[in-house]
Amino acid sequence: MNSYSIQATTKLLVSTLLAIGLFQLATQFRLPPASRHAEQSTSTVVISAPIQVLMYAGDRFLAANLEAMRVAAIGPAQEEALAGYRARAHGLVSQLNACHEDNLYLANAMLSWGGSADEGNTILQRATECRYWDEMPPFLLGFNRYFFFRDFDGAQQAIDIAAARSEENSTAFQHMSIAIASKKLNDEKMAAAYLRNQRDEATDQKLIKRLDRRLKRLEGLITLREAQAHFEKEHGRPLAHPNELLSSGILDKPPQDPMRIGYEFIDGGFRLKALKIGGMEIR
Amino acid sequence: MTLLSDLRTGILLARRARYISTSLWLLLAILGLALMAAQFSGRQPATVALDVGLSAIKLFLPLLIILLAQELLSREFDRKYYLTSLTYPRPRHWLLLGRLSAILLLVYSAMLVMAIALAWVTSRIAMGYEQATPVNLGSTYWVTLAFIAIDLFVLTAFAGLLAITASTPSFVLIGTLGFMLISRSYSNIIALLERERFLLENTDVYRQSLGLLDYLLPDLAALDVRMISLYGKFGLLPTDWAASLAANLAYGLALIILAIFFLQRKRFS
Repeated sequence: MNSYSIQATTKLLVSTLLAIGLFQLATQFRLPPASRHAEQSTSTVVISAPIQVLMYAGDRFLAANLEAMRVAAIGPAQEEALAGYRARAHGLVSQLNACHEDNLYLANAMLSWGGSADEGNTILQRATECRYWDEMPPFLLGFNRYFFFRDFDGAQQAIDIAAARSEENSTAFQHMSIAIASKKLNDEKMAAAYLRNQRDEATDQKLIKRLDRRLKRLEGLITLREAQAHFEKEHGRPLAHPNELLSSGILDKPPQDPMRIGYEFIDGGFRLKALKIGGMEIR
Repeated sequence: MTLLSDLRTGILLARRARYISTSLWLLLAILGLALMAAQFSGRQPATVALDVGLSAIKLFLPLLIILLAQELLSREFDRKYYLTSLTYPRPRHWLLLGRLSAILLLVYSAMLVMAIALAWVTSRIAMGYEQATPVNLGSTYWVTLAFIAIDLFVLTAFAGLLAITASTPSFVLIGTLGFMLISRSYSNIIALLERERFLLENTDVYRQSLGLLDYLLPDLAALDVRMISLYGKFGLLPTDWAASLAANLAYGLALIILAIFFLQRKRFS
């Protein structure tokens, strides 16, 4: 009789877990195929960080891990529809545990190279502060600042942090910092090499496909910038409008972005266009 | 009867209450969770396994504390065992201290077994793939566990106080879980509200009123120093670790003294 309360509580816990499991199963099978779509769009809610901390009994690390798993499980079919979810989820994980390594690399690959460079940089910035020994977050941050925003001072600052932290690559980072300062960094080629390397190292077929699309997008930008350099050399004046590349016959047709976000021409230079995500501007 | 004999009785009672099989089930659950979580990580499987494993230890051991407090203390009054245990010529508080040390001993031994098993599983995962930032299962791991042990000490003291004062055993369950939930999360919530200012209209007022909890509750979140072990860097230890250790230990001791006070004045019908 003495073990009554332990038994009762264990039974209660087990049956609660079972009931939750059954409920989850039932919700999976209950919906007819037509309304599955609706269910997918509701599964993209990201609960804000303070509430998640309370939900997981004050354990912010557990909350970060579970949200990182959730965002890692996005299928390629849903990717375009879930771009906003992805940005919010990666941001949330970085609030809960800024040192989370999977989160920072996935955010850099998927957000920064998926049209949300601003959101990606916020996460890299937090990771740079948290992982005070790691040279990679400041390197990626500096590169993205240079490549996406042409923010020379910010880029140099971050690369200098990377140089100070690194033992093996310190000289390379210092060279890069000087190249940024003189605005002569061949960033497109470096970015393409980086993405190619990430793609070749990946083992997951879905991830390879996604990185491949990002690489093709970048190669489109390289085509545009090379065409611009060609045009400016030939005509001896800066390019005023992207259409001049087509009219002068340097390009037959504009490059196609497989991610359907496109490119933009700002301040006399081509850039990757940023994705507009509703509700993200307030942060 | 001495303190030691009370400790012995406590351990015998816990054994009769299936302490061993319950702990083994919890151990299996922790290892299973850690292994499955590692599958989701591309770059740091060992870190994620250790992280989720520590989370599971921190969630499951309070359940064990509650079950033991109900069994070893609440039952004593519920079933009128005090008719024998309190009739010897000796101070009442020996019973409480003996039983509390039995709970702590049992919970800490379960934690030790779990920690060793988790370290073994994590090191097996770490062998398959070299991470950029490897986990540290040496000194930082044991420091992390020592901080968790203080957290569990405070929870045990609170469960003991509730078991002495509450009239039903289930209140020990609800009260201790609620106490754990709030004292482990409030300081994290305050810190996060700082960033997400757009969530609430009067963030400052809200934060200040949450900050009042500082005077009432121990800050158990400050005892979560697992980052030093996850990333193998002692530099991630909060600078005020000594103060939060001392504050939490003092809080736990104060709870035990309060429990003794209530036990001395308890009227048995």
